[in-house]
Formats: sequence, C-alpha cells, structure tokens
Amino acid sequence: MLRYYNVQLRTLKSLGKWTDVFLLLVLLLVVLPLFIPRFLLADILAWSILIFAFNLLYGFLGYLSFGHLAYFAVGAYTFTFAIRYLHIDPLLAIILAPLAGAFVGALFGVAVVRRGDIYFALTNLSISVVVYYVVLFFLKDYTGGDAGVFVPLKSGIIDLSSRGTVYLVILIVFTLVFILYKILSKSTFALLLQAIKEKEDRIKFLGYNTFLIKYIAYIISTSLAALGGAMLVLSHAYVSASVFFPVYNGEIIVMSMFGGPLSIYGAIVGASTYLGLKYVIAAYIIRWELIVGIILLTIMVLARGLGICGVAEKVLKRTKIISVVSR
Amino acid sequence: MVDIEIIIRQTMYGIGIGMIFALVALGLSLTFGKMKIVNLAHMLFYALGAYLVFTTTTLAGSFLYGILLSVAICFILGMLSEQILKYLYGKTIEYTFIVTYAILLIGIDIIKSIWGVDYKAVASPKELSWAIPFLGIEFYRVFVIIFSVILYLLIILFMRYSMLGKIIVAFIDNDEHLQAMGINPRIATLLMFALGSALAGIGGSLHAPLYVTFPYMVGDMLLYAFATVVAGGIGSVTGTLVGGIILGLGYSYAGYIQPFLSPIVVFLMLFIILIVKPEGIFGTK
Repeated sequence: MLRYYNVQLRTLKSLGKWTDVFLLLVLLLVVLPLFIPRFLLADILAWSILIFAFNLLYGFLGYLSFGHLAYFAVGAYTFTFAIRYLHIDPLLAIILAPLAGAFVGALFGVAVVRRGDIYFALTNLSISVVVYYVVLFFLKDYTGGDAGVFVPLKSGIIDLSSRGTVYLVILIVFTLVFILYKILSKSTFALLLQAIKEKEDRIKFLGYNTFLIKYIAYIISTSLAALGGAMLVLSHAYVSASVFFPVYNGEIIVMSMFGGPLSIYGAIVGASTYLGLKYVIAAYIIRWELIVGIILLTIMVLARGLGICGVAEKVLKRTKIISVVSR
Repeated sequence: MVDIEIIIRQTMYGIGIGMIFALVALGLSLTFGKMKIVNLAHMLFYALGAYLVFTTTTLAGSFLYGILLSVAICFILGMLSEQILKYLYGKTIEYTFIVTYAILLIGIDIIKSIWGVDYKAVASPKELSWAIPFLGIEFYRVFVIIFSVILYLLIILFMRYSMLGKIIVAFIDNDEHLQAMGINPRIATLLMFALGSALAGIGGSLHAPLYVTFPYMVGDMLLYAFATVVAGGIGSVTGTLVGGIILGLGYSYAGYIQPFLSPIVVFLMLFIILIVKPEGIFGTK
C-alpha cells in the first residue's frame, strides 16, 4: 500500500515538472487565439522553433550562428518540393524537412563546428548567402525566386487548407519541440555543451570527443531549424525567397537576445515580442524602424544582455517564487 | 578563348570594387579588432556618403564637393558615434551587435525621412566618365582605383609616421602601456572611429555612381564588408586591403559569367579561406 502511494506521489511529482508545457499549450490553444489572429500566432510558433534551434547552439554552447536562415530555407523548400513536385502527403513532408536539415547540417557541420566565435558566425553566414542565391537564381524555375510559389495543402490525408487545422498541427509540432528542448536542457548532453563553453580543453582531457559533441549539437540544431521552416510554409501555404535574405539573420539574434538565450522560455517570448512589435507597429506607422529601434535599444540596455526571461528569472529567484514554478 | 580585353576589364572592375570593400571595411576591422564591437552602425556612414554625393551632384553638379562633404560630415559624426558607443567597451559581442543594430534601424529611418524611400541614380561625373580606348572601360573605374590606392597609402603613412597614427598603433598593440605613458587612450578610440567613418563615407561616395542609392543599400555592403574584415584578418590594415581585393576579383570574374554568381563565389571564397586559415589571410592568433 505504502509503495503504491509512493509510486503515485512520484508520478505527481514528475507531472509537476510538465506543468509549464501544459500551461503553455492551454495558453496557445485557448486563450491567445481570442486576442491575437491565428496567422500571427502560427508565424510566432514557426519562428520560435527556429529560435530554439539557435538557442541550442548559442545558449548552451556559446556558438553564435549568423546563418540559421539557411537551414530555415532548406526545411521550407524541402517541404515545398515534397508536396508540390513529388506529391507527398504534407504530414509526411513535415518529417522529411528536419531530415533534410540534418543532412545539410551534417555536410557543412564537419567544417563549421571546429571553432567558435567569429569563425563560426561567418562560415554560417557564407552558407546562408550561398543557399539564398541558389534558391533565388539556380532553382528559380522551381522556387519562383522572390515572387514565390503556392503550396497545395489539400491533397493529403488531412485537409490542411483550413486555418484552424493548420494552427493545430503547428501547435502540436511546437509542443513536441518544446518538450524535446526541455528534456535536452536537463540532460547530461546540455551539461557537456555548457562545460565546453567554459573550457573546451578540460573536457578534452577528461576523454570526451568534443568535436563529436559539438557536431551532434549542430545537427540537432539544423534539423530543428529546418522543421521551423516547414512550419512557416505550412502556416502561409506559400513560400518566397525574400524571407531568407541573409541580412535577416540579424533578426534571429535579436529575437534570441530579446527573450534571453539561456532560458527555455526565451525563444517563444523573444519571437512573440519582436514579431508582435514589428507587425503591430508596421500596421499603424510606415516608419516602423525608428520605433522598433528605440524600443530595442531601451530593452537591451535595461536587460543588460540577459533578455526578458533572464531578468524575470532573476527577479523570481530573488522572491523565491521560482522554486514553486517548475525549475 | 577568353579575350585578353575581357580579363583586363574584369580585373579592373574587381580591383575597383575590392578597394571600395576595403575602404568601408577598414573602420569595422579596427574597431572590431581592438574594442570587440560589431559596429553595424558603421554602415550608415557608407549610405550617408552615397546620399551626400547624390545631393551635391543634383544640387551643385559637382562630384568632388560630395566627397569632401561626406569626409567632413562622416568624420564629425564618427566622433559623435563614439560618444554613444564608448559605453559598449568591454561588453559581450552579441550585446554590442544588438545595440548597434538598433542604431542602424534608427539611422535607416532618419535617412528615409530626409531623402525618401525611392531609388536614386547617381551619374558619374562628366570629366571622369569618358571611355578608355581599346578596352572599353569607363575611366571612372580607374579613377576609383587610383583614388583608393592614394588614400590607402596615406593611411599607412599616417599610421607609421605621424604621432596620432603611432598612438593608434600603440593602442591596438597594448592599451595599458599607452595609458602608463600618460596618453589618454580615448584619443586613439576617437580617432579610430572618426577615420573609419570618414573612409566608409568615401567608400559610399565612390560606390554611388556604380550602384544605386536607396535606404536599404547598407544590407548588401554589410555582408561584403564583414566578409572582407574576416577574410583579411581582423584588425590588420594591409589584411583588409588584400582581403578586399581578393574578394572583389572573385566578385567581378564570377559576375562576368553570371551576375548572380558573384555573391555565391565571394562567400564560397570566404568559406574556403576560413577553413584553410581560420584567423584570416593576414591575421594573427
């Protein structure tokens, strides 16, 4: 009997760990669609998957990639081609996108992950530029370049042409990614990455193959980014090369820093704040850059590089609420 | 098979565009090498130079005034920008990135409100736009090369022989010792920002007749300038020049085959350079 209670208690305890996932799901499924249009929410979720991918490298490993849009594009166009030209079921195409991202990431990763810092940032930028111009010109017959192509989503087992269904699918994928990221952030793997961030040589002395660890992290990150790209195409039913212009890689960093790269909620908070600001302000004011720039400057100076979530966690820790909210 | 004329022409084009890359990138290279600031706001001076040339050519009909004006204005604004950016010394690179990105957004908006959002073409000056016989190159391209070479030589001479230049070199080498000598290191940082901004302004003015001025013209040049900085070796003056010319040559040869190949080739070259020598061509560990 005692043992039975014990087991139950343990399940409850482990259930408590997932409260935040549940809350987030309810918030995104029930509450937020009442206030915010679904297309914007779907956009935010797609981008925040990309920010998760970016944060995995930047938050844990400290490697700042200036080219994750490349993998975003790889995922988006894998998804598009699979549906439009190979007539594969859209749900299956969602699985194909991260595989393509992992493949391309594995290809370039061998050369890219050797060093951090500016080397990592600029090699990734090169990949991003190359992918962008290949998409824009070499594959123009298939991608439509800047004009873009529509993606027929009606053909599959589930009719994905209605907004509600699409939003639901994106939300499910997002939740899975969030759970994966949460598990990953508590794992030994993340600890190893953080240790490499501190001092790579020491981890080498301990007998770990640091290259392999970084390589695996890079591949996970690229496949997540590709999944985000597929979600973006799914939400718009349309894809244009102009989204992947290499300079917009800066926006990824801005979103990540907005939310706080070290927090697991950073991605969603950062993406929603930045995209929300951009959409809302651009809808009312033509010169949105001035306002967004000033807000950005204020938040960055106030948050001192920690981001919104970083500051919030600091405040909560001080008032000791953080131990109640899962952590 | 390939005409010798075409090779000469593309080489001239490549060196010209490479020189412009190097001029714009030098300020970035100096500030990034020592102060560890990714100064995206630096690209505003490039755009400002181009727009000032547009203004003077339409109002006064003079190209030279445009260059002189952009040097003067960018020099002063560069000093002013240092007053803001000095709070970023010693911060993490990402932090400086975001703050300067915000300044870039604000700056682009100010440019939009002054000059408008539409594309503006700048004609190259009449006295320089005659074609060279047999080659079919506009003389302006050669003028860009000559002008930038003289400018670069002046910079190198300034760094080597003048007192202020020596202070900059000493600051890059060891700022604490410089301070121990009783020289305020702020002189060096101010001068680095001002000189870099003025050079970026000149780069913008020289590039304007070859390109088209519009508020988002900073986007492409931003990528090329950073590629130049890293390919040449961060913080190295000669490295930036060599990196710029190599990338510029790749840009123009690829552009002859297919115009859209140029950015691909430039960034593939950067990729290969970084894999072979991660610290850049002239970089030190």
